[in-house]
Amino acid sequence: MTTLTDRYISATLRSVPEKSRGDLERELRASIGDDVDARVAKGEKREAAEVAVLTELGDPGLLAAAYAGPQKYLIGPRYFHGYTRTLAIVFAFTIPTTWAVLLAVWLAAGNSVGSAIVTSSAAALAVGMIAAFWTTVGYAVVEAAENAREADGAMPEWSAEIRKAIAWTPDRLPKEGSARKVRINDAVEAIVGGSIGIALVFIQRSVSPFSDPSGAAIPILNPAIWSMWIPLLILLAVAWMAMEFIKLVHGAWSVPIAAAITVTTVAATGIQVYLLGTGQLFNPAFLEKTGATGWLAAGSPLVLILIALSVLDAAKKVFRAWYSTLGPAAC
Amino acid sequence: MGDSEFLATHTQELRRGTVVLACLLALRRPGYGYGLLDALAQAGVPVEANTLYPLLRRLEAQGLLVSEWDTTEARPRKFYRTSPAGIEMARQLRTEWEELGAALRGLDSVGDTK
Repeated sequence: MTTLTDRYISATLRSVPEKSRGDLERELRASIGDDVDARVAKGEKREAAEVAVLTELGDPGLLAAAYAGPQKYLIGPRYFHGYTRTLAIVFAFTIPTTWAVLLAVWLAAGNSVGSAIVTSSAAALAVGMIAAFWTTVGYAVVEAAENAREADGAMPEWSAEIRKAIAWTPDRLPKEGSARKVRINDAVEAIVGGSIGIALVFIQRSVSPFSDPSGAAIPILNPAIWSMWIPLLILLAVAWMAMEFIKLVHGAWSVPIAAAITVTTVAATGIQVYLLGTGQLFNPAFLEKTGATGWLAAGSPLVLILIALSVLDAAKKVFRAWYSTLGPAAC
Repeated sequence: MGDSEFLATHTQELRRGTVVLACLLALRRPGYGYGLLDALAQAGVPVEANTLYPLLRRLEAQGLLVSEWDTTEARPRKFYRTSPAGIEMARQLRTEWEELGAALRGLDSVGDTK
């Protein structure tokens, strides 16, 4: 018949290395038996004494962990802070960037908006998970190497190198006025650049190097996209200006501001890339006049370069927003 | 957390490191798991069973304790004894402990004269 003690001991031994099981089992059994006997001698009932002794020894998994040594975690306090910061930056950076790129590619391939959103969101989440997985593996390996060093004093050469690379030094302190502090340039760029851009979008409707036979100006941008995309882009530009202004007044980066900048940047870039990629951005009549139709046709090398540039610019903006918010410690 | 809980936490922190020294000193005369648990409690150094038992094996792995099975009685027991390296370690730890005590007394008297 298996007793409570038998079950407790086998639960403990389950996660103990095979070679030390026999010895540990005999010792643990003797210790529990001695404790139970001592309680019985003081007048407790045997069953109650057994329960009390096992309750005091506690969760067999934790006991086994104690036998295995003090460190039994994937990423301990030493690297936890760096780990969470790296994860935050990895998420904030990879997910929106891959989402925007995939959304644009999917739309450019002629899929419906709904299926493009669903597919790109799922894929961006998967990419985020993969990035998080490798971040975790990296930190866990360093942690394991560090534990091995503490256990037997030896440390593999490569892990000493990694350790040196991620060790904190005073050089990592944010530079005065660079990281967390807001740069006034951002607000100037947003407000001046944003208003000039919005003005140009309106001006190009009536001022153009070319005019049609009736004498009316031929706009540079495709008049067909005024029904939805251009108003949306103007709205996003205004939101961007407002946020830069709030940031300047607030005097510091914060998570909501970084998140808002991420959302607007990703949305605006996604729309631009979509319009460029599908050849909808420019007015076909205007391109015909300039002879640039072929250059800016959907899928042409120039269009791909322009897309790459705007995605890079967006990625830079998003990265900088999170880097400035979360600090350089993790990078 | 109230003050008493903070006190309990800090007391535990303070005692944690002394368990090793207590074991090394007590086991200069051979002892086994539960017997040592009881002896330490009697001596005023109470330790949890689930802390002490793994610690004994760890100190053995570090060469500070040596062990031997006693099978002459009805219940076979693993007896531990402090090794020469363990005795030397205990001497150093004890010196450290006493120096710390002296240092704290020094700090305390500085506080008194203010």
